[in-house]
Amino acid sequence: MAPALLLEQAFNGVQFGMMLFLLAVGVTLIFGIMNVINLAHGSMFMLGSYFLMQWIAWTHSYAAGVVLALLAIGILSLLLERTIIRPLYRHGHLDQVLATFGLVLFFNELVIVLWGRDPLYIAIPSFLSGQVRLFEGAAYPAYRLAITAVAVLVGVALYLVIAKTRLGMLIRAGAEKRLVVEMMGVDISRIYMLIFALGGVLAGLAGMMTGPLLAVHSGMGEPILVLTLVVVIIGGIGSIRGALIAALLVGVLDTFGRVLLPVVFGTGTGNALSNMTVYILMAGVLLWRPSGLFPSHAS
Amino acid sequence: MFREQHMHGRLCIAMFVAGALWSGTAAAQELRLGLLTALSGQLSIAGAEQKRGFDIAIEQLGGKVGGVATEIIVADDKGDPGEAAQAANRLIDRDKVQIVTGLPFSHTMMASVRPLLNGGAFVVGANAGPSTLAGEGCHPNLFVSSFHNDQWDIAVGEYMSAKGHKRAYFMGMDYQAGWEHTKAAIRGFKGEKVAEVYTPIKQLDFSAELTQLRAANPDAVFVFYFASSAVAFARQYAQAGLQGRIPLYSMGAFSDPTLFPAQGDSVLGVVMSESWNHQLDNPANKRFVEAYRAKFKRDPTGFAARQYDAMMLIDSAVRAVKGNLADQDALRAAFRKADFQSVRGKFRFNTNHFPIQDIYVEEVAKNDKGQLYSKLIGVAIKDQMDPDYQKCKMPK
Repeated sequence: MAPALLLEQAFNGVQFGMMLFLLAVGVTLIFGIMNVINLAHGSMFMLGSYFLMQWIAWTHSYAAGVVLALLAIGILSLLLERTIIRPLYRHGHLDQVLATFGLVLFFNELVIVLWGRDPLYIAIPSFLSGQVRLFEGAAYPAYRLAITAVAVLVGVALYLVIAKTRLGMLIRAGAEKRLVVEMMGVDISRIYMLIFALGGVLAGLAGMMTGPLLAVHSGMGEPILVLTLVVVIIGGIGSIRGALIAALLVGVLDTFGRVLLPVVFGTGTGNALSNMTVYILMAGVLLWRPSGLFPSHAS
Repeated sequence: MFREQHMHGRLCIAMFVAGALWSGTAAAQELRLGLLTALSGQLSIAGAEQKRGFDIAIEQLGGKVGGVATEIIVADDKGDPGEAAQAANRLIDRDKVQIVTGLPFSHTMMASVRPLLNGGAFVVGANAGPSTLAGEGCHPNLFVSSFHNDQWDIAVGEYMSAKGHKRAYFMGMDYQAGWEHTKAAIRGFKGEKVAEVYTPIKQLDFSAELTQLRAANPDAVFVFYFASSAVAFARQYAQAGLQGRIPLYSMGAFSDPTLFPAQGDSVLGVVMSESWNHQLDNPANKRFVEAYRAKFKRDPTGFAARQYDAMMLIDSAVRAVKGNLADQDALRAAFRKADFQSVRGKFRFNTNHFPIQDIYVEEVAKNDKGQLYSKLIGVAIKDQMDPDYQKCKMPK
């Protein structure tokens, strides 16, 4: 493979990885700190797309659409936390899986009721719809570059919040020793609410950014949710650093697997193998480090 | 008392026999018609379109297919083979249908067609045309009035060669129908196959594949995608700067009025093969398109047109036997004659009950109102027969 092609595929892998990172952060925090398995994360991804599409249709502005959609997802996440997730804290993981799976089914049907079955369309803002000449022979879609940049910025902002603010300190403490934090009189339910909302907003943001690339349709969050869970497992539950490293690993491996394996092994075997690459990686990591790459020391 | 019981019993038997005879005669004059299609699930757009074509036909026939009182049973296979088999069994056992139509997809069709045929029903496939059913799997009571899965792809492959393209890149969905369609296009194409790439059914992000494609720099690209994947692929192809630079070819499912809103301008210039186009100039097509536009406020898709045609075919056959559906040989002969006005213009069946038809070429363009439409630009192949008819060993 020519170096230019290699580099461009690497860009594709990183872009995909950064989207997974946005989703994985939410899942890893919600699971690591709140000890809640939230399958409806993929639904936040899907609703982010739908909300953006609807707000753009009403306001005719991409920027306004993004802001309003983020707000809407935030409010929805808070509502969900209040009504459905809060009672689940003291229940086992199976109950959480059942409840949040029910949410997935509900939202999948809801979007069909509200917006119909046809796959829908979000326009990329015109200043982003061209290509950027990265280097010789590679005209990379400007939009993909932009969303990668946004995801990186969000990652940096997250790092600053977690590492440099009081709230971040509480989150880190909660990830390591939840009980101690509670006993020190911190209103843990406020923290939980914030974390859940943050997770939802990040997932919604990933959905908003990915929506214009794909088709907005019911159930679009499920395939990416599976990969997100794999990323969280590989990275270690509760670790944001782990989520980042694992997401990039998965993104790049998946991308290269898809193009290289069919070339090496032929179409049939190659395709089958490329579907399995990520899971083989997960199995390998778990054999070597059963708690993931960067396990937090919680529970 | 014994005598009374005897009389009572005999009277009951007499009434029962009379009733059976009467309802038996009445049944011969009533059509129980099943529509088995995908009304929910990921692929339900096609099912919804089939239902629309079906409804237009029923309206125009005044609710009486073949001039006979018709009971319609609509069954949802959810786009899933397991559900399709169950729905087929219910249509036979519970609803006792005599004719079934719909059948939008190959995988659900393969699951439902055996139970239906074994149950004695006639099956008129209005969309999917799996190659097995055209060859060794053909059946005297099975008629596929739509197309053979390979037909459009072979046609577009030949058209690509005719246009002077020498090196072509082929991509499709990684499942049975995807392999069939893509390999058929490769068979029709006479030049060099640069690559043959299959992507998982659920994959919507083609960044990696498009990067490879651009590096290979082919003269032309053929893809087999439909529904959400077609939307995603068209958009990403344009975003990667390939629209207008490397001509994109596909078959009719890649883009149609249901997908235009989501694909937008990214799908301009795509060339597809189809066995029907809304611009075809014949009276039956004009009636159909006008009725569809009036009712649904947009142009019809091929799914609707083919279901409408299937309904008119069924109507002609039932009319020919004057509603006597019990006479299966006569009904079969009537189906074979295909004496109806098709929206495709001329239509006839091959010996394997698959169509011999012209395959057209259409290009997505903008009309003078700035709206997208499928512009008829020519004929790829005339009177095309499917590649499997000689493998069908059906008794005459």
